[in-house]
Amino acid sequence: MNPVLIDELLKISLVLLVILTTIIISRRNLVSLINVYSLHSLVLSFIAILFFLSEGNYTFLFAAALTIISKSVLIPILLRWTKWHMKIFTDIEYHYLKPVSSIFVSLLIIIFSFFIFSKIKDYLGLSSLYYFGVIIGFSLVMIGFMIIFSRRKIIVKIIGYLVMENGVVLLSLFIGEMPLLIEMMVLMDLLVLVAITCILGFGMDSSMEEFHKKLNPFHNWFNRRAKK
Amino acid sequence: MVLLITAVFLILLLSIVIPLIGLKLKHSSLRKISLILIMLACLISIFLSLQVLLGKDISFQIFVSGTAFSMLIDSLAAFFIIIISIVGFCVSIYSISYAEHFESVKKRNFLVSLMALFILSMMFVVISHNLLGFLFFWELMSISSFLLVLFDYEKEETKKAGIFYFVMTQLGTIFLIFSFILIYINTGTLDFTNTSLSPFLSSILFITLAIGFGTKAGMVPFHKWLSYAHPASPSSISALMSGVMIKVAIYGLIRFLFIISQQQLWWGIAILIFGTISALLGIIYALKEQDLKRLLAYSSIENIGIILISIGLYMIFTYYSLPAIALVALFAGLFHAFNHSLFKSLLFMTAGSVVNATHTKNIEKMGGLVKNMKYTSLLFLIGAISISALPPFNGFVSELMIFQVFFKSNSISSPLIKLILMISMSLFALTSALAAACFVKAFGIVFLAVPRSKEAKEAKEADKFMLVGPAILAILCMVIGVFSFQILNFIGEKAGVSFDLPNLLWISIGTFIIGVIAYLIIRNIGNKHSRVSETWGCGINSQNSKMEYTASGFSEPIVTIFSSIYQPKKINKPTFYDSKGVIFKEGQASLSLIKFFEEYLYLPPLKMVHYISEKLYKIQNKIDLDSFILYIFLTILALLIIVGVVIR
Amino acid sequence: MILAIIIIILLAVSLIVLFSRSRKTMNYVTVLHSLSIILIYSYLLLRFNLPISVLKNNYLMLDAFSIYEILIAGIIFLLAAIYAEGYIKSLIHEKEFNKTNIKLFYLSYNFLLFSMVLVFSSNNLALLWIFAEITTILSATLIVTLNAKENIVAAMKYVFITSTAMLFSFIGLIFLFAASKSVNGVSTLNWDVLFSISQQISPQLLFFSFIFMFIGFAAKSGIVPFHTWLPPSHSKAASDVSALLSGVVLNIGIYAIIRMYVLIAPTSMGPAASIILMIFGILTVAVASLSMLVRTNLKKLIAYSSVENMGFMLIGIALGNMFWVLYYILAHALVKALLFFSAGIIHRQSGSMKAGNIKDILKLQPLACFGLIIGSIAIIGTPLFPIFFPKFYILTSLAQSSLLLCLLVLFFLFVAAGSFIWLIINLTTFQGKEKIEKYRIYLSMKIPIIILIVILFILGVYFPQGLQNLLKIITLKLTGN
Repeated sequence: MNPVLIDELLKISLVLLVILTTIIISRRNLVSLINVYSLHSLVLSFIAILFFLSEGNYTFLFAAALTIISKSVLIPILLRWTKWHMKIFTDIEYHYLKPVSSIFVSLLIIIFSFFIFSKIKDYLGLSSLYYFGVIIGFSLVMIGFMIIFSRRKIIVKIIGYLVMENGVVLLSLFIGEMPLLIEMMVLMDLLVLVAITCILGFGMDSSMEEFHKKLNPFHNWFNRRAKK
Repeated sequence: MVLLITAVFLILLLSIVIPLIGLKLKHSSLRKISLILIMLACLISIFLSLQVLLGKDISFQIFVSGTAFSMLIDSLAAFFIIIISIVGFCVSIYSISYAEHFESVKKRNFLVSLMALFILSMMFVVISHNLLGFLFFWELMSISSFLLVLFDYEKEETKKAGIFYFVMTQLGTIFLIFSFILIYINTGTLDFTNTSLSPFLSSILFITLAIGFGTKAGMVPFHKWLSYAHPASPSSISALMSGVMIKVAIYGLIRFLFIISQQQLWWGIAILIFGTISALLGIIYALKEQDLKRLLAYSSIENIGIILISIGLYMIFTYYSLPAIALVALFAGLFHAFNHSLFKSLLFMTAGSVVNATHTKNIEKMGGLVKNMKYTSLLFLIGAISISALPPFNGFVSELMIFQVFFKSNSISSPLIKLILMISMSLFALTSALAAACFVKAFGIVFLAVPRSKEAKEAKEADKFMLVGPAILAILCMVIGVFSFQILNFIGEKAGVSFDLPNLLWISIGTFIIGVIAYLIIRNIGNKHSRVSETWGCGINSQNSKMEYTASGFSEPIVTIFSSIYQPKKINKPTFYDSKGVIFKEGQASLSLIKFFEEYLYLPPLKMVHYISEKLYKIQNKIDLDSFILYIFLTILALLIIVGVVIR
Repeated sequence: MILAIIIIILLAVSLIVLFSRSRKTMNYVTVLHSLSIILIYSYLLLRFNLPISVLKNNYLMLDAFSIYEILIAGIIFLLAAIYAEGYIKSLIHEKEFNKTNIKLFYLSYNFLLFSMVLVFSSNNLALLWIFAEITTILSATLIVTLNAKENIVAAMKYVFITSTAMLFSFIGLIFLFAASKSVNGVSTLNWDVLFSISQQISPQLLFFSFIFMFIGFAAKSGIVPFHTWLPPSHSKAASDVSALLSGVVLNIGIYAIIRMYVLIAPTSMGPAASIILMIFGILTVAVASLSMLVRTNLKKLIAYSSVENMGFMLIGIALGNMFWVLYYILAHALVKALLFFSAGIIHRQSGSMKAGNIKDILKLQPLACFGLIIGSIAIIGTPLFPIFFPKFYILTSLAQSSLLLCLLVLFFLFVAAGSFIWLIINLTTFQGKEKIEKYRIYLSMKIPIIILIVILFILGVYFPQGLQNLLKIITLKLTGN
């Protein structure tokens, strides 16, 4: 395939990722959040495919396939299932940052990452496009982190974590692909982790605060022997 | 020699283990065996140290946890081992019956076992010639004494005392660890060697050492733990702690002062000043105290002050290169340490017997014990006379020596130093007078007059072991006082120092003869037709104990004189039947003395740390996850900025 | 071969756990599992020339350091498994532990041991990362097996904080992977290769990846400010699980940080890395010890003490005093296990961990009290117990670099010691008004406590030559001097 075309496609995909992330930041509806996340992962696997096309390394293809299966299919199913059981549909509570300021902070994060990575740019020896990819990857990690602390519902926190994970994968795509074995194990780990947090979140109902309020009557339940 | 040391070690180890084997055994045989073993170990170590004092030093190594601790018994160490062993011996005799007073059998066994550990650790502190070894046994000593202080854990005040003691001890220990590390990184070896540091660093070292050892010794302003820990702990342990453990701290101070070369003048002055303050404040606080054991504890602070004064004098005279006087000062200090350990353990043990008999520590509830506890009161009297520095007892001799050193301050040229020495001497003289007053009060209120409570009336004489232990010390107090001239002359010849002391032997024989003659004259020539009746009470029908002079009454004039130090607060809370406050219903009046050091020195930093810790705890313990994640987010940003700055 | 053996053992054990009806059998096989791990790895240590490659490409490899950590883990797991026999029995009896969770508990327990072994035998850093993540999940599972909703919150915090921070570690790994390519054209994450070429890798990139690696593993070992998950999860978990979490799982972070630090130490960025570790170490000691002041919850206090000790180890690492840090790891694990086991018995007796609810324990549970007192005296670093020596030597090396910092750390250690003793005195001596019945404690809960007390006493005065040699070998390998 034409390398110029691939470069262009890569650029487009990166921009797409940023846009999708912005949507994740501002969305309140859980269903659409999960859908956007699937799309996010899909774009990521598309980038992996582009890498396969340009370098011809089958690892990338496998990685793309795995990403599609796990992140665009399995995890969204898991999330939907959890959401359905939890009976919540929107997340309107914010903490520390409101959506608008979140977007502003994300912008700052991207600039900040640019500044940090400019220090090690020379040592990495990457072309400017790849370098841009690395910055976007790292920014996604930080933005995901921001989502975790600025949203209340546990399910959105999980999505934030997944965005972080996508950022890490993006970073590794642009810097250098990990061995397939490790790639697979990381994905397995992610699946288990998400499953566990879903179950835990399930046990915890919707949000930590409400949960604690509900917990108060139970407070001495654990220590009931003492009361006897 | 080393064989004997090993024997001492193993015997003490056995006496630690034996009571633990039969922890639930009610019969006292195991405890007795263990205590006899302690006595045996003490005897052997006295023999050993006398050998060292007369002959050569012993050095050897022990291996703990893969580290070699070198040990050295030189004359200084031997001297302190003698102190430990004599007191340890007598306390063990005393404990044979004292330990049986505790209700719980486990406690009795633990008492004996921990006491053995305590004595063992003190002995090894003294002979350690290695920083880490010193620290090892020092901490062991602290922990074992801490557990012993907590012995009556059921009482609320004991808990407080335990925590107080532990915190103060740890505070001292961190300063010690710091100074040891400072020495270690400068000499590169853990063994004691001469340390020469820059003037600044050596001053720091001096300060940390002084705080570290001063805390353990009970130097003002780190003295507060004594007045809590001593009343709370069992009397045998108070005797050991006050008689021996605080001396071990003094030993540490002397030992480490020998190590630092290039001493500065102000160190000696600082020690002198703090010693004087400790002596004066200690006795002033002791005077108004109504808790018998706390009174003794404050008196220990006073005596530590006296010892510190002589160490300070030693340092000042050494600085002015007057070694002859300096040595006399040092000997005076050591001699006073020795004497104090004798009479203070004696006093604590007899006080323990009294407390056991009357079930109270408040001297206002005692009185008249001389009738029921004849021997105990005699022993206490000997201790009181010795501590009040009356001739011909031993306390007199050592204080006299210190006065003599003070008199020689003319040989120092600097007028400022002379002035400081003069002031210190006059305060020291005041201290001696107050000490006499204090013990007149203690003896008078506790033993004389009419019993003030039912318990005091029904008090029984202590068991024979509880008399023999203190009795040995009492005899020693007398013998050492009377033969002080001979003993010190002998030592002076060995060490090449001359002490001009009066020969107390002839004086005391003379006094004794005169006393006997006077007694006989009064007995035979005086009025033979004496009658026994109540003292005339100004026409009151019969006298009761309420009319006696009380301890508070006794100390009232002194409280008034030193009111600037005590800061007494008088609180009157009357309530009335009518609104105008005419018809008196009931009232509450109290006199409280300010706890200056606690309120102004200890509490403010504690409160500050507490405040910070509360705030810190709050931000770490939010219910929601979000803030935690935010902390991490911010930390990562900060880290990245650091990375950005560092990488070039 | 070794891998096959331990996998077979694991499978056998899990099959027995799955198909057995009796809890006792499950517990026995768990004990046997831990015992077999100890035996296998001691045999390897004594009989074979290290390092041993376990998996092709040297993905898994055993060197002295790995085996040392595995053995510590094995000992703590063994003792905790023995303890669990009585402890879980009484938890079930009190209905605080749901019977349906038994199989889950024992499965997670055995898998945690297995993954712990794999973490420490991973030569490939990415594998180490993955297994570390798995231990997080398994530990969280163990925390939630107890029948209380607070445990879910605690586990959630644990999983969330640790795994988000661990993602940063993965970024660090990616950079390390890329950086290693510059040396001989082949990217690698095998630690032994990286160690041999560490001086040729660009130090800037190495530093960059070190910082990222540090973030994740610091969270794993509870370094401030990543520690916020630790106090709730350690105090809410069942006591034998707390002992595992505190004594073994926290070690993973320290282990990985040591592995990373020795890569960067000889390069030109080594001092910078040291300073970073030092800042975090002192911050950790400060915050943890100040938070320990006037705590009234015993297990929370012990948890904070873990944080403090981790910080102290970090200081030791920053100073390069590996020998004593390694010894400290062992001592800390043993003491923490003792403390948590004793706390577990006290919790059984009084149903609470708070001062004020705990009454008369000195009379009712003398052994537990004794364990608690010994443990707290040991953890504050008094002699006759093993923490004394490493504490002194680490402080000495701290003083060599800065006297002021040494004094500061000493002060914080003092605060920590004071708060520990304050709570212990208040707990052990608190007297109830009415008579309280003695709770029957099974013998299997007492045995580990006695064993630990004996081991601590012995280690306190006797440093076995074999252990000394082992630590010397590891130090030599890690620092080259």
